[in-house]
Amino acid sequence: MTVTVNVFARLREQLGTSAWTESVPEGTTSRQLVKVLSEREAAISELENVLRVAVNDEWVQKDRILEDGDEVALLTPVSGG
Amino acid sequence: MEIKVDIQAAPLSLDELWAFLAAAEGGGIAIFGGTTRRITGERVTEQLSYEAHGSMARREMEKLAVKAGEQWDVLRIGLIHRTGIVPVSEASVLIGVASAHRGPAFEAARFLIDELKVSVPVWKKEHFADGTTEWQGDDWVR
Repeated sequence: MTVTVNVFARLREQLGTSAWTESVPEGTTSRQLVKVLSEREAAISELENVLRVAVNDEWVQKDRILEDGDEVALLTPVSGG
Repeated sequence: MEIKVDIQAAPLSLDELWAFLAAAEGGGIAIFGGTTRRITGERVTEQLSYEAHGSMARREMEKLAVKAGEQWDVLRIGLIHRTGIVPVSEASVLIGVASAHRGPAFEAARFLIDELKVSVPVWKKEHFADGTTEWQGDDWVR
């Protein structure tokens, strides 16, 4: 199945892109997705401990099972306001 | 209770927010504006810039407004965050609350800015006078 990964701010700058699609097996959790991405991208690996995940604009726990078409956002600590 | 939230690149309009809140015909309006500060410790800021996960930020701000409405007796709530460059002394965020009496307006406004800063997906980048830049937010507050 395919999910879209969205990144912002420092992670977007470090990766040089704001979004891309990932093919993942059915049943992949957000934790597993982050793990796969960490192994591929040093920028994600370095931030792994402070990354939180949102799926379709909602905060999710790391054991959230992803579905085809999900918009997955990897979020670094927020600093709005 | 009426709620208005937005994320926009354009400068924030105090007049528009006030008009929205005043339409509640309450007895008090409390507005907080978060602005770009020139000096922080020893560092001098040239400007700030902000980036948002827009669709989620709007949802989170709406949720905060609903929460505030559950805790305080208020009539209208407005939350607007700016993205892109925010020069010194300009507002990056406006939080406004209208209520029948002033107490709830002050308290809800305080709650809203405090919560926005820990839960809404927006990120601030410092652009210092020495030419360096720095994304803010090394760790989660909660």
